[in-house]
Amino acid sequence: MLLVVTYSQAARTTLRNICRTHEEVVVRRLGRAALFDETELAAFLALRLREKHDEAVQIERTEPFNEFAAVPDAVREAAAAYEDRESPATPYSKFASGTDHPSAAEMKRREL
Amino acid sequence: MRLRLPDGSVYEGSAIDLASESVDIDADAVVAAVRADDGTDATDPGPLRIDCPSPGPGHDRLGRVPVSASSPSRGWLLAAVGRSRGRRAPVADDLARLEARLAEHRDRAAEEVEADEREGVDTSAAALRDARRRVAAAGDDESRLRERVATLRGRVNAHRDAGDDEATAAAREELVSAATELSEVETERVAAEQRLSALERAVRADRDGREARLKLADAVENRRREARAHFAAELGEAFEAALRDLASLPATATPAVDSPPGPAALESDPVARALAAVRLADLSAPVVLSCGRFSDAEAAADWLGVPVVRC
Repeated sequence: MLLVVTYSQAARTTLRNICRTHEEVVVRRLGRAALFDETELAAFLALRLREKHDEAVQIERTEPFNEFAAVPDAVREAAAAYEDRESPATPYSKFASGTDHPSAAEMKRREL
Repeated sequence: MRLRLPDGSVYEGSAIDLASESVDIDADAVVAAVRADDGTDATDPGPLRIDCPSPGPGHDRLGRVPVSASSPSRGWLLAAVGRSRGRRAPVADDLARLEARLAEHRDRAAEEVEADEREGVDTSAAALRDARRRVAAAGDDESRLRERVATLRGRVNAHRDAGDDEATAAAREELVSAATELSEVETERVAAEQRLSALERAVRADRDGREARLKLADAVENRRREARAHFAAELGEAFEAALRDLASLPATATPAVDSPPGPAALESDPVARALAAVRLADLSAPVVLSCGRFSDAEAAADWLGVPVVRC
């Protein structure tokens, strides 16, 4: 999908108008951003928005997140285990120390 | 009002004090009896019966003190007071319309869940996770086999270049079986991907519904806040006056208070706020009190201006 984010009031207004008149390309509206379908029409609209408002428009191409393909087992398991913790007040650093779960610092260093 | 206990004893009048009697009746049971009174045959030997006017608007919140909310806000109380007096906030129509639409959306969502279940479509987070896991597993298998096919192809070429016919034939056989397996796994992967994207489309529709409901729920909350603010503004002065009046009562039945509390202290006391609201409200069904503050049920009924059952 295409993620279109606006950074000025004028760009936001244009985006709003696009969303109103081209509902079929809009997957989701999120305040001053929107997710467009991945069609040529969506790209055309996003590009027109950028032509008009230039640096006030950011366009990203997104893809569905598959944690089983993109994320190491250890990270997935740590997330599940931490959300299942017994005491809600335990911070992750304390939870992870002395276990096989990766530390936040380790995860920060490693890219997906 | 007329109240009959399970043991058959009967009390009458607009102020009934069960606290001073040695009867074991809890306030919830009395409230339930007030709300259950439907004018049916009074000889029905129910456990606890009260003949009284049926509870009107506002009694749902103000029918007992302490009220059901642990720290009732002034707006929450005064909205009930307003309703009891038959007043409507300017946003009431808007609110009713939004609430109806929200209820409709919720019904529709429930219907869709049922329809999905009937058709065996599972769009739960677990089903989606499962589909993602399958796509990932099929992708892993595919790349592992693709590598193997490449290796075997190299081996066939090497053997052929070396002129070893026997080894070439053996390697070619292995290559054929790996290539067959690869094409099967490819088919699986494509099928898994198609299943995942079908699920994602279905989930997208679910999310549309969720978003619409969330927006409506926010709008309902906003209108309710406006209604509370309206009643708080309209009835605020009378409410303050009621609290001041309550503070000026001799604090006979209020234990653990050394000096009579001022209106400021009462403002932060949930019981005092609720009592002030009951005094302002226009209720005809009895209010059930399980709090101190008044010397007896009589005094409470006088001050509150409603029939009272004290437990």
